[in-house]
Amino acid sequence: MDVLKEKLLNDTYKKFMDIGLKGSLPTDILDEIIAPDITGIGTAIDEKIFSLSDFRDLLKSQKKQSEGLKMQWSISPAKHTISPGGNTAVFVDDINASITVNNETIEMYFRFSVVFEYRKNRWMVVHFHGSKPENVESEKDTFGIEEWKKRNAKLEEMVKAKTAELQKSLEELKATQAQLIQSEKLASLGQLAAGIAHEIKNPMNFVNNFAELSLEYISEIQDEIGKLEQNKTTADIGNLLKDVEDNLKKIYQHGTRADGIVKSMLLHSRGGSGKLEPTNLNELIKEYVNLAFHGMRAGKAAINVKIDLELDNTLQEVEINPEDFSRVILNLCKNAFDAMHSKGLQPQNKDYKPVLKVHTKMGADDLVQIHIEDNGPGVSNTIKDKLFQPFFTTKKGTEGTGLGLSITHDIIKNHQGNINIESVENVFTRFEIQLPLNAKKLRS
Amino acid sequence: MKILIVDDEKDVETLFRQKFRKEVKNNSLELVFAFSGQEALDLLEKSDPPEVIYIFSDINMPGMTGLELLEKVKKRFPQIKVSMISAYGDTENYNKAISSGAKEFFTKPIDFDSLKKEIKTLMN
Repeated sequence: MDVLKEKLLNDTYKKFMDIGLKGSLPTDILDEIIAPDITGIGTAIDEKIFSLSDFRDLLKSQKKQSEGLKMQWSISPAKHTISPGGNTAVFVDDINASITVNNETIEMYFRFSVVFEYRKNRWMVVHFHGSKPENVESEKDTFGIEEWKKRNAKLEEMVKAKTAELQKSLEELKATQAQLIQSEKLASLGQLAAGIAHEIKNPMNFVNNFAELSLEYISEIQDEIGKLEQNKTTADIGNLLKDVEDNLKKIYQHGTRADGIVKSMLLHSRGGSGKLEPTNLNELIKEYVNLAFHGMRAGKAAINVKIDLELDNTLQEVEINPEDFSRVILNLCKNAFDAMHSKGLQPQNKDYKPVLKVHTKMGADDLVQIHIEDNGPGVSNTIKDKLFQPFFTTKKGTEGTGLGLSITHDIIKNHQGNINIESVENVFTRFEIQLPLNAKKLRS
Repeated sequence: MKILIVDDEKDVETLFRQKFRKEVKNNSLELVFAFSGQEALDLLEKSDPPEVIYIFSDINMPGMTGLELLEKVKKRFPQIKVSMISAYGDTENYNKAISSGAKEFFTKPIDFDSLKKEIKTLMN
C-alpha cells in the first residue's frame, strides 16, 4: 500500500477517535470519514449504531453525559492491521480514560475496535466496537459516569446518615457524661455534708445542753428570789432573768433546729442499712400522699388541692425500702404543696386551682414509672441542675433546709433508679421517677 | 457510786458536773473524767479492784478510740459496764459497740434524761 493511502488511513483514524471519543472536532466532517451504513456497538448495551444518523445521536448523548467532566485519554494500539488487498483495515486499541469529577479522578479502561474500508478514494469507518469495562453495568451510560455519580451520591448519603448517627451518639454520650458528673458531684457533696454534720453534732451537744442547764439555773434562781422580800430590786432582777430566760430558750430552740438539719444531713451517710422488700407501691403512694396532704392542711401553708391519683393496677409488688421510699413521696408532695401555695399567693392568680397528679405505670424493661406533677410556678432552667444539690433551696428564710430533694435523689439512686425533672414555668413541675421492679439490693 | 466519763472535749466535764450536780451534792454519785483512752485505763489501774463501776466513753478520740478502750476494759475489768456516747450513730459503729460488749449506745447531742434514767437503774 502506498504511503499516501496509509497516511489517509491514519488521518481518518485520528479524526474518528477525536470526534468519537474526545468529541473535540467539529462534527460537520463526519460525512467524510463515516460510512452512511456504519454499524457500531458502544460501551453501553443500547449503543447500537446502524446508520450515520444513529452515530450522530450517539455523539450528542455522549457530549451530554460528559458535560462538566475533565477527561483525559490515553490510546495505545493493540493491533492495527490492513488487509493484503489494502482496502480494509482493522484497528484495535486499548483505551484508558481518566475522568475527573468534583476533584476526584476515576480511571476507566476499555478496548475499542474500528473497521475501515477504502471507498471512492477515502477511508471510511464502517464498523466500531467498544468493549465495556467490567465494572460498569449501566445500559445507557457510555463511560459509566452516571453509574459512578449515582454510586457517589449514594455513598455521600450513607456518609451523611452515618454522620448524623455519630452526632446523635456523641450527643447521647455528652448527656450521659454530664449526668455522671452531676451525680458524682451530688454524691461527693452528700459525703461532705455527712462529714460536716458529724463535726457539727459535737458543738451542738454543748450548745443545747448548756442552754438547757442554764434554763434550769434560771428557774432555780427565780425560786430563790421568790423567797426574798420583794422590792423594786427583786422585781428588776426578775425582769432581767426573764429576758435571759427568753434568750436561752431562743438558743435552745435554734440549737434544736440546727440539730434537726444535722439529722437530715446524716440520712445521706446512712447507706446500706436499709433492706429491700416486695412492696405494694400503689398502696404506699396512696398512704403517703394522703399523709402529706393532711400534714399540709394542718400546717401554716394550707391550701385546697385537687389530688389526682392514677395508679396502674397491673403494677406488681416492687422491691423497695418502704421507709426510705415513703420519704421520697412525702418530700415530693410537700414540695409540690409548698410550690402551689406560693403560686396561689400571687395576686394575679386568685382563680388558681392547685392540682397534684400522682401517676404510676408499669413501663418497658421492668421499669416502674412514677410521676408526681403539680401545676405550681414551675422551675426555671437555670436552677434545674441545682435542685438536687444539698442545701439548695428556693424557700425563704427558715422554711427549707435544701435537703429534701437531695435526700430524695440519693434514695432513688440507692434503689438503682432515676429521677428527672420536667417543668414549664408557671405551668407545671413534674418529677419523673424510674425504678427497677426487681432491684437486687440497695446501692451503698 | 463512781462513774467515769471519757471524752477528749474538756467541756464535757463542766457539762456533766452541772447536769449531775444534785446527785454529786447528795453523794449518790461520784464523777471522774479522763480525756483520752489511755488516761482512762491509767485511772482504772490506780485502785484494785477499780472503784469505777460504769464508764461512758466517746468513740472518736485522738489516739485510742472509744471502741478500742471498750475492748480493753472488757478484757481487763469485765465487771465494769461500758456505754458509748457518739455523734456517729450509724449502724456500723452501733453494731461494733454492742458486739464488743457495750451496754448502751447514746448519740450526741446527749439526751441527759435518758442518761439519768440509765444511771438511776444502776443506783437502785
